[in-house]
Amino acid sequence: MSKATKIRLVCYLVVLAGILAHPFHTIWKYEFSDIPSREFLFECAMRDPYDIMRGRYVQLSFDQENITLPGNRPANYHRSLEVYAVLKEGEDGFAKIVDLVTARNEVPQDGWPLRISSDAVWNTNWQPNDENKGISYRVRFPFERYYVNEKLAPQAEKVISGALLGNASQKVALKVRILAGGEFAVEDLLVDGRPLREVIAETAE
Amino acid sequence: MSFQRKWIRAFLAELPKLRDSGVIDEATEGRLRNHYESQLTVQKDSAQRIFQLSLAILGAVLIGGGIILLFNYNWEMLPKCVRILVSALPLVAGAALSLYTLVHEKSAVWQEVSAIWTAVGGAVLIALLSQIYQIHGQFFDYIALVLAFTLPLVYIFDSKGLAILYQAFLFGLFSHNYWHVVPGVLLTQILLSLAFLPWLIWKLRCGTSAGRVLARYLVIVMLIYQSLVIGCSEVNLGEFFLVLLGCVFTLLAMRLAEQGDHGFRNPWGSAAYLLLLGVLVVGNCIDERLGLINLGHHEWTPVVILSIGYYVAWLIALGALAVWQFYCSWRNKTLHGEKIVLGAIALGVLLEGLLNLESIYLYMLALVAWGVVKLWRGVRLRSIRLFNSGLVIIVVFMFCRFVSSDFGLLERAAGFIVTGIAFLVANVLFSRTCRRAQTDNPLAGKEVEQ
Repeated sequence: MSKATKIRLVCYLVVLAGILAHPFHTIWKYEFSDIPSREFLFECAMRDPYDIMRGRYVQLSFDQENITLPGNRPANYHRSLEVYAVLKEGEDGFAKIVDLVTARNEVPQDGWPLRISSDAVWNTNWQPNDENKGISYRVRFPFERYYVNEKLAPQAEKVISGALLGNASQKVALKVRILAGGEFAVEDLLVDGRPLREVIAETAE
Repeated sequence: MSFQRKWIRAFLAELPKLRDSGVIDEATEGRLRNHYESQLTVQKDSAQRIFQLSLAILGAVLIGGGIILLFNYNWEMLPKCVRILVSALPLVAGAALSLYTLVHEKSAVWQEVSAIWTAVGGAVLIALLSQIYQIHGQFFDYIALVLAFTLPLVYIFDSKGLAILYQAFLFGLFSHNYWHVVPGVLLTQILLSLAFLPWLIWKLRCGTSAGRVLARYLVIVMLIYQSLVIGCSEVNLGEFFLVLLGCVFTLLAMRLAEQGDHGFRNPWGSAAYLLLLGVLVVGNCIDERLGLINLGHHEWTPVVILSIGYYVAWLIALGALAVWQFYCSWRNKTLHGEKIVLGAIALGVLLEGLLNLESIYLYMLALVAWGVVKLWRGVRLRSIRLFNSGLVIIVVFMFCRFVSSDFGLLERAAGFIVTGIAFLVANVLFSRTCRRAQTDNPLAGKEVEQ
């Protein structure tokens, strides 16, 4: 092997290590994080489009998208800022946004951070900022898609439509595992507390 | 390759005529025939090998596609760890192939396949992991990451195929509108573009013939796109950037033509022509003069400062390249009317931008003068291509002025018809003149066309 080839080989091994670093880091972060993650349920509705990179997905919309927070806060968040939604579990077991902060260390002890994009938050007040009235925001959650097998997506849409439009007591919720740093991993889509795939399989039978 | 085969066949057909006319003897004819027929056989073999390789690649792709579909069908049933392992298989296979290629110092084809397979394997692994964990990342972040590990592979394997893919995906990065908001995004785009430049420059200067031609195309694509996207930023475009690029490309094309590179091997001339023609059309149709740099209404965020700095640095680099090319032409005494007019075009748009003039179309007139110079050179060299290229510039200018002026429909219809007829008649007359001149004096020398 010539010297140039040896150098190329070493460079290639370094590049390969770099390529593998990202997947390893992702798996480590989600499977073996120092601070255990927490699971939250987000009540939602949906529709069914297509992502060329990752396949069919169910497009979700959430009840928690519209929130009103106490006054004395920015009307809009500058696009270069990081924003964290502070989450707490409500009495009904679903997650609620109780605050929006711009730094991880501003999240209170009894809350849990969810990192969202600053351009996913916008002010929906018609009036100027009023401390008494509070500020209304619309928040676009970062997990508005749930990827499913190509064949299952239309059935998923039918099952969820049936759940939402039919029996009023049936709730559709997205189970999300949120890490201490605000990153998230979607775990499952639940229909009345049961995994979507289970419901689809039952419906098919 | 097919051109060479045609040439060899034509030459072999000429040999008996040369022997009969006494230019060569029988022995010489025999030796020439043996030599060139053996070359034809070698080329036929290599053409067959390429065809077989293409079929092999197609077969491999179909097999791979089938395996992927099988896994896709059963994907939901597989446990997470199995899905992760399956996702890593393409990268593992690519790594094994690459290590084998490097250790055994295999040929260029092996290196191309290894580079592309490793890059695609890595991209697939990251995409599938995000699907497995349902991670909702941004497309920009994904492409930036893939490009970041693809670029070293281009250098390690000197892979032209991967370089083309890299350039293509770089567009995906630039077309994203994130960058004018977040400084990190703009910086990523700039770094990924600049890191690719050394490979392009290396190919232009030291690469094989095919590598140099490929690098010329990639350079055009990169420079035009960067000029459009970065130049159309917070700062401003002005026409100066594109005009300067057109002038630089023209000068470079002239130098290549002087060295004997024409046609598809010299794409800069065509690119420059289309670029300047585009500027002529757009400049005539848009009345608003944008100026060179519009700084008035900006909020001085880090993004704006960075983009202005990058814009200015790019401008200076291109300007320096243009000046250097002019200087080389001047020193080599190959300067002629067209180059002087190009300088006038660049100066014209610079003055117009700096002075922010609204009514004086300095560089438009210089562009038309460029068309006239081409037309004149076409007549002098009896080149229909040059003649038509100059004529097109003049006709396009007249057409655009006509369209943007306040003429009624009837007048415009008459104008278009007259222009079209004049165009056709000029071509017919000129081609007849050229044919007559060719018949009268077929061995008359010609300057190199550009």
